[in-house]
Amino acid sequence: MNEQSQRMNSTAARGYAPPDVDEAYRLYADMVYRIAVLRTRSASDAEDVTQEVFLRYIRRKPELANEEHCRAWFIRVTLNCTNSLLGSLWRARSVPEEELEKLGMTADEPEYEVYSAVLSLPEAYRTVVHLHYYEDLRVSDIARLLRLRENTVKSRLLRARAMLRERLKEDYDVQ
Amino acid sequence: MFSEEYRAANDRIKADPALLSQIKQKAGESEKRKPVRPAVLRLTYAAASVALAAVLAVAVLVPALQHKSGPLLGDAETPVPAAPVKTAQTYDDIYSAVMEIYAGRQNDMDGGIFFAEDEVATNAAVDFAVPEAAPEMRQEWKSAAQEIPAADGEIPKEADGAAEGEYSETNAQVAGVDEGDIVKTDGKYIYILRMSCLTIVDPQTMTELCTVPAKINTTEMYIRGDRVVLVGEALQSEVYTDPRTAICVFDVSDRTAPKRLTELSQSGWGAQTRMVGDWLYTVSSYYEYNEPKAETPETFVPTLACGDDLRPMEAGDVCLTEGADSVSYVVVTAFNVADGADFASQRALLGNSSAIYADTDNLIVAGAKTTQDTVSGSDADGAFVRTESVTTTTLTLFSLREGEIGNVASGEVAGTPLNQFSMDEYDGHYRIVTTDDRSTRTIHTDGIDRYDFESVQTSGVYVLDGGLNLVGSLDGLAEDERVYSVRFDGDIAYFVTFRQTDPLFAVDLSDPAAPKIVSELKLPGFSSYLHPYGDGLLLGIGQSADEEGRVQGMKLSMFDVSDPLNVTETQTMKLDYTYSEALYNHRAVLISPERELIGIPVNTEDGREGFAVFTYAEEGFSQLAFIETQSDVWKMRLGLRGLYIGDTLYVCTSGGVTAWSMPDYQQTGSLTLSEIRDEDMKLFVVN
Repeated sequence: MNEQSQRMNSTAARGYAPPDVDEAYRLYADMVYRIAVLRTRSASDAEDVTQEVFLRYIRRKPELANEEHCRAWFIRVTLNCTNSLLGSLWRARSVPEEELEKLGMTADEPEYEVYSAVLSLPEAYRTVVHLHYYEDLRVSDIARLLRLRENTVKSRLLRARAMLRERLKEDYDVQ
Repeated sequence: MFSEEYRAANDRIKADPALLSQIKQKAGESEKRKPVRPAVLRLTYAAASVALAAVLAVAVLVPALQHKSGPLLGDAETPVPAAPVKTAQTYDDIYSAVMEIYAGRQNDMDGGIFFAEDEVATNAAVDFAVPEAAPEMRQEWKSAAQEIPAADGEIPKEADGAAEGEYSETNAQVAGVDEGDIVKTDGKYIYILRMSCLTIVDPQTMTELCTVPAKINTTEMYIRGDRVVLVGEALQSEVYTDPRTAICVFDVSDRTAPKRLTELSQSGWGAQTRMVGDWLYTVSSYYEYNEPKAETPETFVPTLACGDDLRPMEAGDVCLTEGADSVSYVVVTAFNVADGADFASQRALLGNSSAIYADTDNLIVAGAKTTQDTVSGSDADGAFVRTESVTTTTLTLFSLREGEIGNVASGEVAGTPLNQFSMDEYDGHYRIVTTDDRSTRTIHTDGIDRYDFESVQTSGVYVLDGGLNLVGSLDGLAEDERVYSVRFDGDIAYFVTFRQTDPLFAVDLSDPAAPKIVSELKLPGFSSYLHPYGDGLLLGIGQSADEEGRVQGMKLSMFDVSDPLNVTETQTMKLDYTYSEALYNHRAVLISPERELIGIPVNTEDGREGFAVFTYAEEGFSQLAFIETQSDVWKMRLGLRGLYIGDTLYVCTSGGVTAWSMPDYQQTGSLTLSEIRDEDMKLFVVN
């Protein structure tokens, strides 16, 4: 088989057809939006990012080998889209409480404290915390997605835990 | 429990389902109609070259082993040397440049993409250094280099008498240029970075001599005699969480009681470092987060700190790069670890750094840039707006002379480098291998809205002179594949691209003006690290794949490169391991052709971690040992590394060290390290 026909057959042979946009939105929109909220700390920016990510999915029709690859694509593109926002705005350094309210969280709820503690971490730390604790990604996968050495990811994660332990005091067992 | 509460909080955050219809509306009818072809594609150069590149790649991949770059691809493909690097005179110059960037900044989020998105499964940190120097200096370096044995991962020992091969050093790219890592030895002691702590182990007695907190998020270290230098991440303050790169020096003349000597920091994270002699060069990347205020330079210029003294860099140390599209800086500093109290020299560059390359006299910083050109026009289908995206790499060459960072030249090539191994200096020329991503997006706005999107990826080799002017190139290779690894060996560049099979290209660069492919070997799978292994051999560490390109697990390959015209794979060994840090970080590789030793950290399918040791002889690879290390997800053993001192292999993690006799690999010792205390993990704050 020559190069060209091999390539054309490859998608079919792999037995994975990337989902159409409705299915993709059902599968990944919440994930994308959550990462975007965490990174931008803004509900409206996160909506813009979500739109952009799915527009890219429609326009680029990425060739994806399997479900895991598809999920990684969405995470990577979300990180890309939020990266440029992080760089383009000078942001308030405190946690914007009204943003949390926009997300439907109020201060008297138990989750609120934990989530706002994570949001108050420096960007690089909250990203690894989210990918590890919420998306259940392994350190080696996070390292590849963020283009960092594994050791850096591990130490950020450990240090983020130390910071969270301090911020949350004795109330939560940050493991 | 933290993790449950965090999960519960996130579960409540949901994307608005109504967004989907907005997205679809924006995407218009793109799904329903086919892309327009030739008539439209002729309109602009980039689009035209997309079509040509597609044709060309087919031609190259079949029999045409020799092809000169240039005419086919046209001028559009030829990188134009960037404008000379301009240094600021005053802070006002910098302030104006920064405000101009903010004013001209595109809101389109595409502007921020430095990496192609279908690359998610490929390599991580891009790391790149630059060599350069005055020609006469380069001559000296070259003659010195000729005395250095083949690049086998061994840096020649200093003249203080240690016998060669007595102990292993960090696997570095360039002889004479040390690279930082998390575990090192000086032949007498083992130094281990664990979180923010430095631990020193006496391997003779297998005892922990000390563990001292560094108060920074350490990423790597260097050892020079009785000095240990730690480099890591820190924050400017609890309130101003601006990222900083911190450097701490310890006097370890008493290995049981290291004394903290100096504490320096510079703006930015993602530090990449090299050490030449006693000089530490640190390159950090810094996004300016502050709102610029004309009268306060530290709001728009990177800062340096020595102890408590935080100062903006001098205006004269800041290079104003033409065409910078975001307010991000690359900060380069030099520090003498033997007797320095402060930075000896420093430079900042408006731009970004995706990789650095350093030899003993020069440093190259490569920064990726995505350029978008939007044109409007009309065709048979009506009016349209077309956006072309092209990634280019800006190269900046700094001379390094005894800690003096000179600013020498800048240049530009198409595409982006994979990592530091994508760059090299040889015989007065700089060479770089890149993957070129181009895309064209057309939006028809008349009547039916419609998107057409096309993208093409190719690889290229570029040769530049000492002024970073383009001398020769060979591009348009391996369409729709990405570069997975690169290694230069004298006149020859070897690189691997991959999609379904692994073409190992050998490119002859002996005529800098006319690089040519001399060999192209296709194999299933790919190598993500290449290492010259003794005479005429090239080791590849990578992953095997089936015919469809599905990754099957790890493999080691040995290529016979003694005849560059006919590169062959002499041996290959499939490994049962699922993953190794060595696939992405060359410093995790322990390699010594003299000892016929190849060691890598590995993960097994059933979740175990360990250090695997192999040997290579003419009859092939064989595995000598798998040394399991305690693996604990929550404690997260940091930095699994293997090293040797004399005939003992030491396998080190943040949890402990085990000793093994070589070559029979019987355990001769074991040490469990002390726990790191929570208070030692506190964030280092500069002021």
